[in-house]
Amino acid sequence: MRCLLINNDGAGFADYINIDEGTTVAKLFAQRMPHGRAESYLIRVNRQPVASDQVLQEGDRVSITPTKIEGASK
Amino acid sequence: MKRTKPETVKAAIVLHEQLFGKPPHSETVYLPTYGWDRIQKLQRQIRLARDRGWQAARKSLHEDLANELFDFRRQLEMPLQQLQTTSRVPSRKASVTDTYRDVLALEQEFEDYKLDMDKKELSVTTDAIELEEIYLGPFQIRLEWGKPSGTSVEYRVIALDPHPAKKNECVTHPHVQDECLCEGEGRAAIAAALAEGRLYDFFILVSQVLHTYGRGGAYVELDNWEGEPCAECGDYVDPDDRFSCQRCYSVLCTECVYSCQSCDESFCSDCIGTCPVCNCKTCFSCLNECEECSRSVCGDCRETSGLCSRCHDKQEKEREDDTTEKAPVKTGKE
Repeated sequence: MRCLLINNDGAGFADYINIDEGTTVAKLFAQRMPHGRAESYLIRVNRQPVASDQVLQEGDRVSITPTKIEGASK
Repeated sequence: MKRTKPETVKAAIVLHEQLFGKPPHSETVYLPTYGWDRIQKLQRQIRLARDRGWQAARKSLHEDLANELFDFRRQLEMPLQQLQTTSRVPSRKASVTDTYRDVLALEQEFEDYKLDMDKKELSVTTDAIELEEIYLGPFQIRLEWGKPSGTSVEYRVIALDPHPAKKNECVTHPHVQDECLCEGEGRAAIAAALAEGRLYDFFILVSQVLHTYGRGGAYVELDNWEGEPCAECGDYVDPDDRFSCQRCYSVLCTECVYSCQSCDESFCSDCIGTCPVCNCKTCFSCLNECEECSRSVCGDCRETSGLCSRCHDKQEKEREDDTTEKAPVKTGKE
């Protein structure tokens, strides 16, 4: 089934991906962010905070945003 | 199923049309053709100078050419970045439904959500931000569009309860100066969110940058937020009461600074000496060696003879004693 994945880590990636039926939020995170720790990210489904074991549905919008994004000075 | 809010739907339709209805100005890639024309003109002038043997002119033109090329390289960065962003952005753009859902989510996520269609501003307010126990207050993230400046969309970060850095009032957050956020690590993701019309993601990203302190990359580091610490006592120094040692440039407060009694310059305790004759604080540049005893004394305690006042007096006394010994003794027969 198809979901919109928005990865706001680094350059920002937003595109539709195919996932298996029954994929949970935690599983998708582990697949897409194998070196990341979930607690270091804001993970939202359809713009809402969700439990890690929530099963994703067709057409869900999943966004992954780092909690720590360092600014700079020009 | 949640009930649709008619007023929010209407706002989302108008907002979507105003923000994304027309092609943004940024789709036109500006190329620095004027800079290139200047470079070609200089090339022609250099050839002319070479053919006519004008060496000095040729050298000067080469310097001008180097400066123009340096500027041209810098001018190329903007269109290159623009093209890289455009090519990377997928064809998917936010729909009106996306904008509507973003607006609803923003109302829930942030305090004080405001949409002003007349002013063409969409703003949210963060919670009060505190970084490393320094209170910075809440910030309004204000997205603006259709401004006279010509840019399609821009945003500002406004401190609502400002506690700016002591040394620069324009810096209200380590990464915000003059209401402009330096996005650092978030730059590409913020640009992508805006380009794709993902308003919710945009505001979340900016908020996360505001909630993060990038040590070593701030306009003013948090260690110096309340003022710079005095190198001697460690107390924070108000910028108006700040002194700097003229030798080692350390920051000093009014209590710890020493003033040289000869030159009046400021020094720390390690960089100032004491005249052994008058006990006044004197910097090492104003202390001079006595040619007799080699003690370093201040100008007031050093005679023109190059001796300190003690050695000078001693020498004067010895001279007087010599004069007294050599003077003829008067007898009564004269």
